[in-house]
Amino acid sequence: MGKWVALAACVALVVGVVSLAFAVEIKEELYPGEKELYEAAKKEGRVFSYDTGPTWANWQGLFDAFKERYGLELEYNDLGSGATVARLEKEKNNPQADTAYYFMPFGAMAKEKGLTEGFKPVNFDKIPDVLKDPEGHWFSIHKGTVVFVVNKKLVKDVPRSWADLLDSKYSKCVVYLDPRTTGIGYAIVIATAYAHGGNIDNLKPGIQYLAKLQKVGNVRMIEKTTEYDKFIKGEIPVWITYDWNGYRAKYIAGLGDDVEIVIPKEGTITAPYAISLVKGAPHPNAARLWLNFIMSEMGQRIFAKGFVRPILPDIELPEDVKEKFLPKEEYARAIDVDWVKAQKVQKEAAEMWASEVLGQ
Amino acid sequence: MGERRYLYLFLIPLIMIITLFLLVPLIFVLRDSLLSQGRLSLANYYAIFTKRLYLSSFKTSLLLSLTTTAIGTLIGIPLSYVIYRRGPRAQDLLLSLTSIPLVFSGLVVGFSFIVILGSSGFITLILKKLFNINPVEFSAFLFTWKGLVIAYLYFLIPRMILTMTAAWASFDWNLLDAALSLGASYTLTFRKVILPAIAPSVIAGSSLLFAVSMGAFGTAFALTGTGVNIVPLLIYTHISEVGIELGRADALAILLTLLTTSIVMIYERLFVRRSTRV
Repeated sequence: MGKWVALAACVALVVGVVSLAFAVEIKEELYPGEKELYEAAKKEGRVFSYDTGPTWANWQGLFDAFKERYGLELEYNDLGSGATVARLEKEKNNPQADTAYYFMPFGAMAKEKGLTEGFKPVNFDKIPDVLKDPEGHWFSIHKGTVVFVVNKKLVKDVPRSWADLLDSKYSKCVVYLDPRTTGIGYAIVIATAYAHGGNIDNLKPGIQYLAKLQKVGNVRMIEKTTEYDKFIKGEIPVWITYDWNGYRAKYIAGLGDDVEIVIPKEGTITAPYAISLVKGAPHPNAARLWLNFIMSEMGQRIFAKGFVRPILPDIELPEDVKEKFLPKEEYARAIDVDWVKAQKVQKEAAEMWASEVLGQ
Repeated sequence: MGERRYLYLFLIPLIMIITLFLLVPLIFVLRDSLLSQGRLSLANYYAIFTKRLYLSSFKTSLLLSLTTTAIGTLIGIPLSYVIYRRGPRAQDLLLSLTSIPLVFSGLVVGFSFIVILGSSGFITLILKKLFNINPVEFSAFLFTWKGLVIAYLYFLIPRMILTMTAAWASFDWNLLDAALSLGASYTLTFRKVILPAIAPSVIAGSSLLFAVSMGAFGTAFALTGTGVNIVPLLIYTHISEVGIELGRADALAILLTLLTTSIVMIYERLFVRRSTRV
């Protein structure tokens, strides 16, 4: 008998300590109703956030801040935008995800497939109209520009333009992500199309360019998901990716002068990233708490700290971040495109890319 | 007869496992591969046989698997003999070392090769010091099908060794002495005595290597991303891209199974007959 009492006491003690550690108190609300939402979320205990890989777009910073503020568990995976929509569709009858994050056109696609639920987070009104669904089935949370990130330890002459990349001195140098499964891959197809006289209705010039890049033997590899760690390790000479990855490698990972970020001469695009509340989310309140947090001034500032440009126009970049960005004139070459239309031609573009680039 | 019947009872668990985990899934895959937009059709197969993307993926897969099988078999046989000829203690140790590569996941194998042979890999850096090679050019092969040959051999050679050690152990070494003492030359002894005895194991081992490389996924995924056009990676992109094409992926899986099985069967027929005839 005594043994059982002792055991029960131990269990009670452990449970007590644990729950004490989790009992976070919100002193000042970030937005009205935060406390109430938190109380409901606390009962659910966790959020499952799809495709928010920690080394991408400073998600790690947001995870840490969220956990510190609320003490809730946050689980994530890292699939790529296309794979995320595919996964949500497979799990439609038994949803596992609470929130899903992707390149914006994929948000529109997820809504069309009936995978999302309308939710308007705090500051929803401040998001530009073209960058959100009117009912909040998806809304953009930050932006990034497609650039070259160059490791100068491996490449002597820094390429300045898309045309430069075709030069034989960049043999086996270029790495980018697969347009079939990732948002950035698709964004690169769009960017190269515009840079070569195409547009969203005519992506062919971009695909032809990428096929040529493949044919001359300058493509080192085509990755399936975030290759940030490989870049840091020195495996990637020229990386076509979003600007924040470059700034992060240069200033946060400390590669410094070995890294150069280039906005190609012929131009590029700036791509918005969006997030959705998943239909039938297993932890709906915790999911709303997470989405509100991302859209709060606090969350948006954390993106900015990681060189990820926030979607809210009135968030000022911190001074030390601002001065590290390339000058405004450089960014003037990065255009916005019709993202909703971009969603409609995605599948076709992916197929065309596969047969032209891999099927050579 | 009565005793036999009891023996069949023992087979029931095996039959159940094969049915549940091999036949039933395969039938589902076959059924779905024959559906296109809910209707019975050969559209998926038609696409595979007419599009360059698919044909070139089968070509690369075959090239990769035949190369790894040939090299793996040729390296595996002498190595297994060397290991067998050690004393029992050394043999135990060597055999347990040999099985280590078999326990790593493909992910680990992929990344370890990047650490060794990538553009900042330590072998690459040593070669750069010694011969002043360009590390970027040198390491690029690692992310093509040639890199996969190297990475696959890492877990294929041990499989060959393990299969062959059993063959050496059951070989009657007295036959060798008999042949030599009767005046046969070494080459004749090798051809007429050793080869027929080990041939079944060589065939079984190399068939295993071939089948494993045709289906391997994790190592390729970790090492080369989705850029090398081999069938397992193509199946992956078809089930995870936005325009998910499950039917196409199913058809690819069926063709991969058929191709691998029939090549292994033909190969075994051809050589088992020949080696038993001797």
